[in-house]
Amino acid sequence: MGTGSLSLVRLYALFVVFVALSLVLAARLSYWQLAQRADLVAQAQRQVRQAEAILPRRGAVYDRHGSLLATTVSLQSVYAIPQQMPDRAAAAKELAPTLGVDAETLRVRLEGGAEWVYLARRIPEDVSAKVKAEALPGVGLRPEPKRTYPNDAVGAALLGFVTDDGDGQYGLEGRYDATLRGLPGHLVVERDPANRALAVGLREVTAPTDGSDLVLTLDLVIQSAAERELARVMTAERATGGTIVVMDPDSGALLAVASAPGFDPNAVARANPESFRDRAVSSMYEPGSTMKPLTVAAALDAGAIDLTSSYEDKGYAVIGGRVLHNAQGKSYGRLDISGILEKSANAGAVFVAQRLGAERLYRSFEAFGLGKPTGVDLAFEASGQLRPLRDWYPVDLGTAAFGQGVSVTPLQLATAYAALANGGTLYRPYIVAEQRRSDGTVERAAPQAVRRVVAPETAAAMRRLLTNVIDRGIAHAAAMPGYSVAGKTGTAQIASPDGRYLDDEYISSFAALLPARDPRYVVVVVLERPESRLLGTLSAMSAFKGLAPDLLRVARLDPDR
Amino acid sequence: MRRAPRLRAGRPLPTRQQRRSPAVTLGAAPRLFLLSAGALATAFLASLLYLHFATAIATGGYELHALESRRAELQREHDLLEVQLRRLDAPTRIESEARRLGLAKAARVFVIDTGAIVAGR
Repeated sequence: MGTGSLSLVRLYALFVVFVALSLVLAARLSYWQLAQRADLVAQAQRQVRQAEAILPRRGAVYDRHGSLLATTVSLQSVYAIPQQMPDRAAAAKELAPTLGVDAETLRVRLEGGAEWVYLARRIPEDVSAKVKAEALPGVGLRPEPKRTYPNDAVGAALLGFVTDDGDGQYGLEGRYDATLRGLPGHLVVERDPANRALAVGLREVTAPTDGSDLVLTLDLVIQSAAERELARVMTAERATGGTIVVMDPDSGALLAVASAPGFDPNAVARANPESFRDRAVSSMYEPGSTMKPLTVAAALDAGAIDLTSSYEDKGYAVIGGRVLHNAQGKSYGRLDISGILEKSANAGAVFVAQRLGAERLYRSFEAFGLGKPTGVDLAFEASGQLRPLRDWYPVDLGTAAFGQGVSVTPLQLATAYAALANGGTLYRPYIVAEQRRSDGTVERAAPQAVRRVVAPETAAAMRRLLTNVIDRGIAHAAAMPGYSVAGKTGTAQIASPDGRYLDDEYISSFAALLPARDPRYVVVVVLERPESRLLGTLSAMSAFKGLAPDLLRVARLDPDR
Repeated sequence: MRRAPRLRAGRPLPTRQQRRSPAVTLGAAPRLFLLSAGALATAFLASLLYLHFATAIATGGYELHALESRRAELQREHDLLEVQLRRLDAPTRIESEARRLGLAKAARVFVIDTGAIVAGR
């Protein structure tokens, strides 16, 4: 056998061995790849595949000029994996001053047996930077959404707030929660042990639908001014609560809704839950003399009286066998309709109501929207209270005429006065002007006229009468040099749970149209339990006078007289 | 009597071409071997190429992940700065700052009525 033949044999042998090994390898691979494929794929998927919910962005809230009122940002939360921490007590000691938490509290939490635990949630950026710098083993940061209100307490009761779980509560956040929150998406992705998405791995995404942005009718400048004035007079009067509503009478658009005491929606945990209530829509009170213009308007519109009608004021009126007195028992002699409002004579209101009759007065109050929710797009609106006519005693005709035995919300009163301001049409008040959806479509709210309440001539007459109240009547303190103002004060007693009135506790209010000749604003100020009691209306007017220059400046209104 | 040798047909002489290339004498098995070896080498090279690209894609994926994280962080910081800006822009803050600086509110703001704006040359 030659050398060449030997080499060839060796080569053949090597080839056979190589082929045999390849076959064995191929067979083994085939076994794993074909026979065991399903199990292996399932195991691998379990290890690397993760299904996650993609949170939608909660819609932002803007005022009518685009100023941001509420938005969602991401803040870092600190978590710990106790098993990865070599010395939990030492870590707790090191983290405690940074997080502003007691070290013992932290240690207990770390040693509670949990595999994964939050140590602090949604912390400020400077604190998260410190935690990151400390780089403690087993301690990490993860972003979490946080609802933020850049204007702090301004408009808080109107806006409401969002809980840590992302649920809107109170105000707009509650009322428009479904619109703002959007729909979550889903992500199925394969990740490596470092939790990074595999570049060539599976990635199935169902995109979330972000929440709609809301553009409000609110004007941040007016809202801020209203809250400033409300806070000022509340402090001066040590009042327990207060409200200012500013409305555009030609549309029912709400320009400001201030409610006090307020709260900071950025720090809800420290707030008094009572302050979450938006008093403008949920607080009912007896309007007192601010009701008289509605009584007079109803009687004028029905032709039961005219502007020359008059009566002899003796300081009281007798109705249904009961004697109803003027405030402080004053008598004014002969008073015409303007005089009744200028002096705010209860007896005069009774005189007008008797001319009109209970049936027509009741129907007129209903037409002005009393006793029913206005339908404003805010949460927890109260309906006010207007007892059914069949339950009225004869004396109720008189007391209702000057605002006793009837309760309203400040918003209801503003809506009724807006009808006098705009020529007699009752509008549904509204706060959301636009909903901007994530797909780019925009839904705009149109002003909604509910009904005609009084004739335009009646409304015009009422504006003149209420201007007289400011110019030479009881509300002269609200006069604005150079501008016509129409308005009416009101002082009401507070009903106790047993149906009586509380001694020496009052609610003072003031309702105004500005400017009176062509009203651009309706302003209602309500103060609860002012320290000056019967003089609380002076403070209510003071709040109006403090706010009015801002309103005139925003509307760029020249003096009209 | 001696017979004349019988003529047998011998193996034909190699042609000139055959004389020059003796390798062609390999049988079917070596040819298969060479083909298999070539295929394996090709597969090996293809695997190397695949690994190279797979590694490059994976590396790119991690870079993408890092960039996405960076983008998310920048977006987060941007949102926080936006809120800070709006906070500084709030009317209440500006008003209190003005008070701190001793500024007083104008008693009255004059509005100039320019009448109807008429375009003209």
